[in-house]
Amino acid sequence: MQGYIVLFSILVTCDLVIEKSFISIPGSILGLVFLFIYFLFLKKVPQCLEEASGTLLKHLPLFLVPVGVAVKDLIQNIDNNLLVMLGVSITALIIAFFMTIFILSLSKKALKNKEQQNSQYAK
Amino acid sequence: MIIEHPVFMILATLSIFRIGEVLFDKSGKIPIFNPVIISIAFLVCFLIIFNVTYTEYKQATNALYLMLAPAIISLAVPLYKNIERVKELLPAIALTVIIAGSGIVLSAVALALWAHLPEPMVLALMTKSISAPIALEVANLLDGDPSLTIIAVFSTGLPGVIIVPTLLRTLNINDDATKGLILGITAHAFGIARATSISPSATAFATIGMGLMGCFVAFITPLFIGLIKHL
Repeated sequence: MQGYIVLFSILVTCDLVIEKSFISIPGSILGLVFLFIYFLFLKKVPQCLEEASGTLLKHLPLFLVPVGVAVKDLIQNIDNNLLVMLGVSITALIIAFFMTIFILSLSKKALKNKEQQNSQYAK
Repeated sequence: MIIEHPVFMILATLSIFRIGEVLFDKSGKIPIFNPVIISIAFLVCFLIIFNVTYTEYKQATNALYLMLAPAIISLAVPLYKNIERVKELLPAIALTVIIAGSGIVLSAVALALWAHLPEPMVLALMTKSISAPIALEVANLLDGDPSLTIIAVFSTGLPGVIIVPTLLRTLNINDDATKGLILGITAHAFGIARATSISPSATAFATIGMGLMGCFVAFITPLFIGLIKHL
C-alpha cells in the first residue's frame, strides 16, 4: 500500500508543478524522472515501491486498452486522406525501424572500436 | 440492460484482455495476437454492435485509464535496476535517438508531402513516434489538431507492436536491450507495454528510448517546422 501512496503522491505533486509552471511535459514523465533521481540518491529501490511498480508494470498493457479503443471514432469517420495518412504512418514506421537498427548497430560498433583503441593505448 | 451496469465495461475489458493474454501465450507470442491489439479489436466491434460511444466507454473505464500515469512513473524501477547496462550503452543510445529521431520525423514529413496530405496531417505525422501526452503538448505548441495527433500516434503505436516484433524476429535480433530500445523509439508507450512481456531489461531500454525520443522530438519539431516554412 505504501508504494502506491508514494506513486500517487508523486503524480499529484508533478501535475501541480506542471500546472503552476511553464513546463510542457506530462506529469507522469516528470514523475518518472523525479523517482529515478530519488533512486540514484538512495542507491536502492525501496521494497514497497518495488512491489507496487511490479504490479503496475505487469498490467501496463491493460491500462493502454481504454486509450486504444479511441480508434473506434477513426474507423467510423474514415476518409481518403485519413487512409493515406495511415499508409504514410505505417510506411514511416517501417523506415524508422530499419533506420534505428542501422544507426544503433553503427554506434555500438564505433563504441566498441573506441574501447579497443583505449585499451590498446592503456597497454 | 446489463451493459449499462457501472462496472460492466471494466468487466468486459478485463475479460477480453485476459482472453487476449491466453491467446498470445498459446500462440507462442506471435505479434498479431498481442493482447492489446486483440482487446482493442474486440472492444471496438462490441461498442459498434451495441451502439456505445467512445466517450461513454472511456467514462466507464476511467478507473483503468487513471492507473496509466502511476504505471509510467513506475518505469523508473526497471530503469534504475538496469542503470549499469544503460550507462554502458548511453552514448550509442543518445546518438541513435538524435540521428534516427531526426530521420524518423523527416521521413514521415517527406512521405506526407509526397502524398500531398493537408498541412494539419503533415504536422500530426511529425509527432507520430512520441507518446500521446507529449505529442499532444507539442501539437498544442504548434497549433496542431489534437484528434489528428492522436490518430498519428496510434497509427504508429498499434501497428508498431505487430510490425516491430515481427521484423525483430525475422532479422533474428535476440538482444533484449536492442529489442526494448527499438520498441520504445518506434512504438512509444505501446512498445513499452510489449517490452514488459520480454524482460525487465527490455522494459528499461524501451523506457529510455521512449523518454529520449519524446524529449528530442519535442525539441526538434518546432525547429523543423520553422525550416520547412522558410523553404
